[in-house]
Amino acid sequence: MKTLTRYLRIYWQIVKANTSLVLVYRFNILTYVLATASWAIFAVIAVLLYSGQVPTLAGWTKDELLTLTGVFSVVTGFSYTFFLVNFMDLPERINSGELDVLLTKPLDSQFLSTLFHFSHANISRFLIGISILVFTFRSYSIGWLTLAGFILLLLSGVTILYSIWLLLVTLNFYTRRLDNIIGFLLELFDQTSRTPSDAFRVASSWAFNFLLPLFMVVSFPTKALWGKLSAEMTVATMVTAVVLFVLSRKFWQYSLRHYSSAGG
Amino acid sequence: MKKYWQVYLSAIQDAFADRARLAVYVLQDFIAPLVSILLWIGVYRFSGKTASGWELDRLISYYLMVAFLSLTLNHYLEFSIGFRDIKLGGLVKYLVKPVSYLGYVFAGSNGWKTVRFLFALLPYSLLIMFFKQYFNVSASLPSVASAALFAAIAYLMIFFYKFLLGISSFWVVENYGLVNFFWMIQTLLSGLLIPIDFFPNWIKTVTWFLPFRFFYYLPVKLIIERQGLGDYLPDLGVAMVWLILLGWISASLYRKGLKNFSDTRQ
Repeated sequence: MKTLTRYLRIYWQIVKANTSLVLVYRFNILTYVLATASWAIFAVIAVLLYSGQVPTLAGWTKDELLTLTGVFSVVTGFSYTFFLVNFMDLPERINSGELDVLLTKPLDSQFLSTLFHFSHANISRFLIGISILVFTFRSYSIGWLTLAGFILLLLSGVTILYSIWLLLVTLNFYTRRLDNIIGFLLELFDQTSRTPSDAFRVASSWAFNFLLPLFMVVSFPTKALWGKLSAEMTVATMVTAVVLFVLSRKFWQYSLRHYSSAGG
Repeated sequence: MKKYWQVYLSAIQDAFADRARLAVYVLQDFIAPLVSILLWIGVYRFSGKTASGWELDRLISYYLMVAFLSLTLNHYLEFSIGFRDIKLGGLVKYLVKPVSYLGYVFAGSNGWKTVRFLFALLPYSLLIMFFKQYFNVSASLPSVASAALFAAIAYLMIFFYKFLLGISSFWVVENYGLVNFFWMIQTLLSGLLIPIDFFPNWIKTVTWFLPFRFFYYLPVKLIIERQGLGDYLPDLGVAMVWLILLGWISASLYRKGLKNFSDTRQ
């Protein structure tokens, strides 16, 4: 408990330091907010365009698709705010030897390496996601149990995404010039998560199974909110989150031994 | 001309030296069309139809051709110009050489694109093979020739458009936000997400006044509908006007931007 409080206090200092930095370049934050907000709006426009053409998209109604978009914005807003910039920066840190600066601190290396940058601009995306969900559910009622299950699945989804990012970025300890692997995953996640998972299940079971961990991040929490996710899949999502997190942490700790700094 | 040829060859060498990263970039290019194809196959298997009266094979053929055009025509300069050359000051090395920066960037981009295209041929062939039962295009020679003409214009238009996004860093320093905003607009209005025919009429009207539909949608439509240039002469005129306008704005804004530029490495 004492350690957790200490890390929370340190994280608050990190957020404050990042905020001071952002305030120096105020115009930049405006353009970042414009970009993140426009991608969230883009996702809504895409849903409206699709649902204007077909009554259901692979069995998903317009409201369900809007929920998917809302959950997608919440997950991306949250993950991009806390982790993404760090994962984007890590390959360069590893390749240039800058990681030394973080490793020499008396703190957990994974904590510092993946939470050092806080991206304020993506908070707008998170808020837009919440607004979409509130708007979509304005005429529906959700039970507390469903909501609790949804939040738990959402946290599992974010953990899965974080763990996959960490697993991939850790590969940079072994091979140089793989810094765009995060961009690749980002594109894959972005494209597949805005699309109903059932379309893939029907189109190609191979693609569905391959992308299953990514569907657990956005599609499954959305289905849970509409009461359409089976108990087995709910448990599978949570177990996957725990297994991937443990696996990625072990892989990170093991791979650190291969880090020889820039001069090594 | 010879010096730009050297720049082109040197960019090809750079691209080959960076082949691991390039391979990842190429695979990344295929994600969006692949997801769209799987989505529409899923939709069709669920409801027995797609949208706007498009048959499934027509829609899949559309995405396969858009994927080909996207990897052939798209330039990736906006961040290298904005970050490496303007923000970090790399532009200085071009200013002291007897070369045009615009020409240098164009030759370099062509070099990277050549290698990127070669790398993409294998995965693209696999994509066609995998979805060959849906790839049903009986293009006529006039329609292919017209599409090639529009594609050549689009190639230059995209270059100037990306160049403009890159040099926006003269004024905004960090062009990430602006570039992302325009990516979104481009994805939506160029036919990359869905064919423009699926849009409501008012958006279709808006697209008529913008350059984006020339990027992918129009060349593919010419082939799918087996139409020749005769039906699209007004569009050719509009495309030429956009090309000249984008080229002129690029050159003028670059000259203006240079006055704002200061080498940050000093």
